[in-house]
Amino acid sequence: MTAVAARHRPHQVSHRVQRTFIHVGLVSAAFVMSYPLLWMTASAFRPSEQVLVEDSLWVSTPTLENFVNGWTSVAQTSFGTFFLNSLVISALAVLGNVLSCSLAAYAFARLRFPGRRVWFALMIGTIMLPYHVLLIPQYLLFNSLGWVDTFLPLVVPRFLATEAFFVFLLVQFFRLIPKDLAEAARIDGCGHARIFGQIMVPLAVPALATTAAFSFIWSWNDFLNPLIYLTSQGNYTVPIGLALFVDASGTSNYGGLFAMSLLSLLPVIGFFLAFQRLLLDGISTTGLK
Amino acid sequence: MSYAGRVAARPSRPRRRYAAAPVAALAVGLVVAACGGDEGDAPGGDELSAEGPLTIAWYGSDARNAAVQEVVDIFGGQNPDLVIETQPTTFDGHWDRLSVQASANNLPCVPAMQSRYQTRYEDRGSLMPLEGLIEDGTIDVSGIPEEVVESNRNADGHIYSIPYGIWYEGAVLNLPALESAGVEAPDAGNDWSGYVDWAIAAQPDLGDSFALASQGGSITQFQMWALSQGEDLFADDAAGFSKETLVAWYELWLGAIESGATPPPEIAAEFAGVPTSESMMAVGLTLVSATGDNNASDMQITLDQNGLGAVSMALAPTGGKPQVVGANSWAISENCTNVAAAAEFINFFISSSEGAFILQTQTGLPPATAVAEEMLASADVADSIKERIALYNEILAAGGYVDIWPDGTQALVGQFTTSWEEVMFGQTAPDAAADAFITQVETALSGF
Repeated sequence: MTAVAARHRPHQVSHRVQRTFIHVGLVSAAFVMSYPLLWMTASAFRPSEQVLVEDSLWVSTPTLENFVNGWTSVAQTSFGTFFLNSLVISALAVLGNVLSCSLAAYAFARLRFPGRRVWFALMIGTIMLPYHVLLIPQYLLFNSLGWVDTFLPLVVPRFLATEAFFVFLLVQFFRLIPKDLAEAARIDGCGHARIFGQIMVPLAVPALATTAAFSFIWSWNDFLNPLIYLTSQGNYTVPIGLALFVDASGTSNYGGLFAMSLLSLLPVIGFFLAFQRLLLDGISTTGLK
Repeated sequence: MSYAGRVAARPSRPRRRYAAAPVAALAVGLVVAACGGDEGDAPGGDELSAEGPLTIAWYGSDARNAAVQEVVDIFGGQNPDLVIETQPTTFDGHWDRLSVQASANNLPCVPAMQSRYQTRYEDRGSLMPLEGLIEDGTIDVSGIPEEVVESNRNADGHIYSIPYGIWYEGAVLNLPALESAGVEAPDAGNDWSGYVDWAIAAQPDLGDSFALASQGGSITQFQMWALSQGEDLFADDAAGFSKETLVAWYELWLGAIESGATPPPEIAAEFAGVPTSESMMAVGLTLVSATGDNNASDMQITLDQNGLGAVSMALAPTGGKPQVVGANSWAISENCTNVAAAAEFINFFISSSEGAFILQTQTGLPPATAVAEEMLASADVADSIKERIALYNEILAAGGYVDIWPDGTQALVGQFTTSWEEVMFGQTAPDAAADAFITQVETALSGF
């Protein structure tokens, strides 16, 4: 026994050393990856004039001045207005995408209708259309509807299943749900509305959570669409508000920028933490990378 | 030299100034205005539309936007029945948004223009010709030097924009630091070759500092070099400079690096793209450089924080040739439904000294002579601003003019920097880099 234990000991030691090295390596890599975020956090609490000259994470003279300045510095508009605008647009985008994309996905996954494959291929094809191809035709359309400088161009399309990526994601998920469940419900007298609402949706919660999370993050971070469609400062969203802090044509407010950037991350992080488990389930079951 | 003489002395350039010398262009404008009727004709004051809100769009950082908004609010206070809608955003955002709005014929009534960007909107018919409004006095530009107004005249004979802020790039010198090192400042009449010669001679006395910041990647300073050689950046449909001029520019700065008078490539690369307040000049690493007049105060703030000296502006090193300046300007869009209010706003903005004192030159130096003189005489205006105004007056007196870039050439700013970086790091020979950049210029001018 003693001889066997002695023979195993060097192996255990080398295994422990190996694991220690791996962990040290991983922690170091994680630190390097998260350094920009940590630096931004530290910079938010530094006096504005030190922001660009300090590269360490230590804040020698912490201050909340950047938060106060950043919140109030944009002319005639508090940064709170930008947050509220972003929240309204993102919440409606989540609602619209979850509702419309799940309905479209159910139709593609479970209904038989003429040209289904062609329509599905066309829908998938729109994923490959560069956004800039659509920008001007969309603007012409929304301008003719009198929707410019309102939230409508940013919200209404979300209720029309225009996000082909989410439709595709949900189609894939719905196809994984055994058809027997829907057939059993149909034998019990359920129509498509009840099958969708009472069987498919409850089973698709992880995929819907994934749709909701990505809708929120993409909508929250969207810069170009709000820039094009929202022209009054009172309608601006957080990304446009952040851009106003730094401009080549004048003195930039880096302290305010980092303080407000830090605040702008909180809803996204909060959304991720709240839906973390469902999000991971959704990603793992749909094969999303 | 008279204004006409100065114009005649300028080298050939593409769209205005040469294709349309002021007097001839004015005649063309009058004929076109007199014939009337066709699209693009300049309206007069008696036929102005005055319906709907006045929408105004401009660009800047939050502080600058706040100042412009304050001026707009004063104008709004004087016109209580007028509905004013403002669209302030960042510089890049402004042009992104404007290009989409123009495609839908939905530009704001008064969009801010800039001398390097405005041609696109003028040539595509998005802006209203203003010379009719100028001639009948609806827009009063009498306070702005004629050559500044005329610099904005398009090759088609029309004036589409009225300058509200002037900016220029010049040399900047840390005179106290040079003095404490016992080095004489370079002669302001030099071209860049003279500055480099000065730097090579001064470098041994400067210790850890470098005499000169390399300008190899700055297209604006290359333009000053081209001007000093009797050339320019653009000609009609080709580069306005010869290959030899560009190769000489690259070799000039390679020589400066080799002699140790400018920082080596690895240090220059570290500082590439940093804000002016953190540039090599601001942190005291170099004692002479070049920058925009509106950036000099940012440099000074950092120098003050570290007790590293003071920055003074000088003329751009054109070897005594007239230098170019840039202009921010107001235009009126073709789709504007309240031209009367738009013209009134432009009048107010360019002539209001109250507005100028609020702006404190954040949107550029006031082009109206009376406003600039009022600022020069005021104790409330910082000395640095007064120095910038005085230098601008000097530039103007020496024949300086607003340089309007042809459409599609804005990307050349970055391409020129990239081209120099390839030369600086030895990846491309000056000769090949010059060929490649000239091709890029020709491509840009061809519209593809």
